[in-house]
Amino acid sequence: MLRTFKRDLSSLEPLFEFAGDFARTHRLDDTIVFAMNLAIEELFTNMVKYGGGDDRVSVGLDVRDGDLVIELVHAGAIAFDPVATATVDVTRPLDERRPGGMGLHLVKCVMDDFRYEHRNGDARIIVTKHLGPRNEGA
Amino acid sequence: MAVDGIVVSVMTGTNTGGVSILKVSGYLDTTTAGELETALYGLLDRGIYKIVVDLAGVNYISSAGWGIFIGEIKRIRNHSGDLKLSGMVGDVHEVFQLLEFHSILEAYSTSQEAVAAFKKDAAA
Repeated sequence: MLRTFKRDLSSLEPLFEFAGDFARTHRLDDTIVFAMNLAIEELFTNMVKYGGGDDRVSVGLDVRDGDLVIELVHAGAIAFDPVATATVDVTRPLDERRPGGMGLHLVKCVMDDFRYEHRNGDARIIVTKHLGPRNEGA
Repeated sequence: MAVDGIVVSVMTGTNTGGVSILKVSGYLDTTTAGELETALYGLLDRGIYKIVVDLAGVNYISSAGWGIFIGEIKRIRNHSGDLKLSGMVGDVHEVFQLLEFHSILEAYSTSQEAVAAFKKDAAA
């Protein structure tokens, strides 16, 4: 499934509805849906806040070879590699903790693969998650 | 997620020993986190610093929601208060652990246990 959304936080609600339709179609279990929604929200929100470029983002959802594949493409985006961004150190004491970076840290934790490409001015993020046996029918 | 939104209710009273309970249900994401933040600020602005956030009815929290707790905990503790969480289940509790928030925030199975912990703190 592929759909394009306005690059604005108001798109989160239709984006979650889109993901929900996909989850129902593929009968994904609650834990997979939780991870999918978390990855979509954190990555899309980052593109809204920091991406520059085009005012649209295309979001693709697919199941390939037992993996959930989420792909976000933002045309004309500023080059910024979230994969290479230092992981937030969650072991630091409270005084040294900052809210920034938590979202990308969570994406890295709940997904199994996280890739970024910036080619011909387009930023493309692909995250995948292995589907467990409960999702074999997906 | 915001499709279903969130509901935040505040319980304050003498039966909780001066501890206020923020009961949250629904989905805590970028678009709804502001409602929790407003409710929390409402307590802090009234000088209430002993707070339990009951997350039993919450089945999704993104970084926007977790950031609220981290953003205010120092201010709360500077006023001899604390913010304790209760009722986290399933994937929400797993994210709590992934972020290693257990080293920062106390978490209890129920809001009653969290309130009792405040009483224990006061007696210590």
